[in-house]
Amino acid sequence: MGNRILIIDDEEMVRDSFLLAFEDTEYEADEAESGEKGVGLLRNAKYDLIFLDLKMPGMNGVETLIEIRKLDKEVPVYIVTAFHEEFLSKLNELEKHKISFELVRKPLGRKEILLITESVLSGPVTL
Amino acid sequence: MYKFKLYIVGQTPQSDNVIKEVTEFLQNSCKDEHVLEIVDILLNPSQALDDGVFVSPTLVRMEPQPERRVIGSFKASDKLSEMLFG
Repeated sequence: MGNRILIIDDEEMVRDSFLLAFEDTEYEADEAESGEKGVGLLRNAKYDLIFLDLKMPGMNGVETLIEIRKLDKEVPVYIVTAFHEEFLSKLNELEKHKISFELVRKPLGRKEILLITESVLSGPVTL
Repeated sequence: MYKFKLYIVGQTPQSDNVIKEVTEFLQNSCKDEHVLEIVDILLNPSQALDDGVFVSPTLVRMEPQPERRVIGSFKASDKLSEMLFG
């Protein structure tokens, strides 16, 4: 079975771009349109990598990651956001609680999605 | 002299581990012949943007040219050595 990846983003277009990127690859991707649904999926399945939107209605990316870490302390989580102080300041709470995560800058193309995924699941990748 | 920049995110256990791995790897690979600058994207997002960094962690060999960029795991390995020094 291939590596399982979860995409949590309220924007359908963004989720579709990830799903399209993983089409015809060895990776199996699931999607969730909210933090609540993403955490729900994680309760019933093990994932190897999670891409998580920061700004979502309902449970935002920070709140979602806090819940994710209660269920899985190890899974690599890449928070997808603009590299802008206004957004990044929201992540201070995670840092305060020593909750690990990585960042990836929006917008992302297919090539970047696959490079990041390969680097996480198969070792270092040169750009 | 080798010059590297490591882009990490925040002071988390994961970032601490990445810094430790890179520091050890460079110390073993090029001993005192290197300089490592660490950029926290949370504190300095504009530098990451200016440098075209789109994901953490990213390790950039700035000097000697040509520049090399690696993302992913920085655990010491032949693959990582080849990417940065080969």
